[in-house]
Amino acid sequence: MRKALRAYEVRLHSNLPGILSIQPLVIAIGKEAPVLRPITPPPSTRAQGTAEIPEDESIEVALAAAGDSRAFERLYRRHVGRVHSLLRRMVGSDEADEATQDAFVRAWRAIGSFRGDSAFGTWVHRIAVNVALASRRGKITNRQRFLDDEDFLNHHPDRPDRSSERLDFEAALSTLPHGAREVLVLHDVEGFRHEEIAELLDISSGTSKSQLHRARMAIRKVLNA
Amino acid sequence: MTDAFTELLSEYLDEELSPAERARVERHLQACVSCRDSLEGLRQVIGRAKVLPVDVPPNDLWPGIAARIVGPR
Repeated sequence: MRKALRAYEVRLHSNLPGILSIQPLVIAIGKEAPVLRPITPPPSTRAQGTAEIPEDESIEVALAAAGDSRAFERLYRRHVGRVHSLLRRMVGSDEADEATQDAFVRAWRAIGSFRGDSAFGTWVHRIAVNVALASRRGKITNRQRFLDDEDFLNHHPDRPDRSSERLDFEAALSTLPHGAREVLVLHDVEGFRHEEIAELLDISSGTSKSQLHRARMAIRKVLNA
Repeated sequence: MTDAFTELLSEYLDEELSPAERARVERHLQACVSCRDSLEGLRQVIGRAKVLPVDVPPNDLWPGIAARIVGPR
């Protein structure tokens, strides 16, 4: 029988003496030699284009948790691009500014409970996803959220800009129903797994997979039109 | 055109099929031009999604946030 023990690797940053980086690891103990492997990284660190977390982020977080709004503003400026881009893709350009503000206000109110076992960027990203999902609850029905078989075969989205010869990827994305767009953004852009998406959107993993496939096919169709 | 295998192409690209399903899809791909075309199209969609840019919002949203976080939490 194998036991898994959670441990922490503590190492000194070579270029910032005195600041400890704590990285969770799993030590598996069994008949074989102990194996150390990193826990699956959180979604935002799996996504492409993720900026490296600055060394002093934990200091900024601690200051913000103590009520320093200027430290929180520095965190905001560091992360607003990714949060706003996520929200623009999930709720649309018209609502992205307000949703971004809501996400950071929620983060400010909750930062005292931020435990630091994930990066601040990952944590605020999760808050932004919840803001996006909350913003569309009650607005639309499931029938409007996802692509069903008939929609998929006959998907003829409105072209946001008929004057352009070729829609770019973002515009093609905006033509998808909310649910299908959310699945694609969370999986292909943000790096969430189907199990995580299923939990967030209150759907099955199978639905997440089928919606992802249909969303990709629909975008391909729009881009090739 | 789509067929029963088209539905499996995303899971094929995401490496979520069982070895047996994967082998079936690969055999089918050798014979089906339409599915090979779809596979390449899906691969391009996935590739473009992964490199979407991060854009800073055109408006400074901080003043609106600062106004809402004044005072005790």
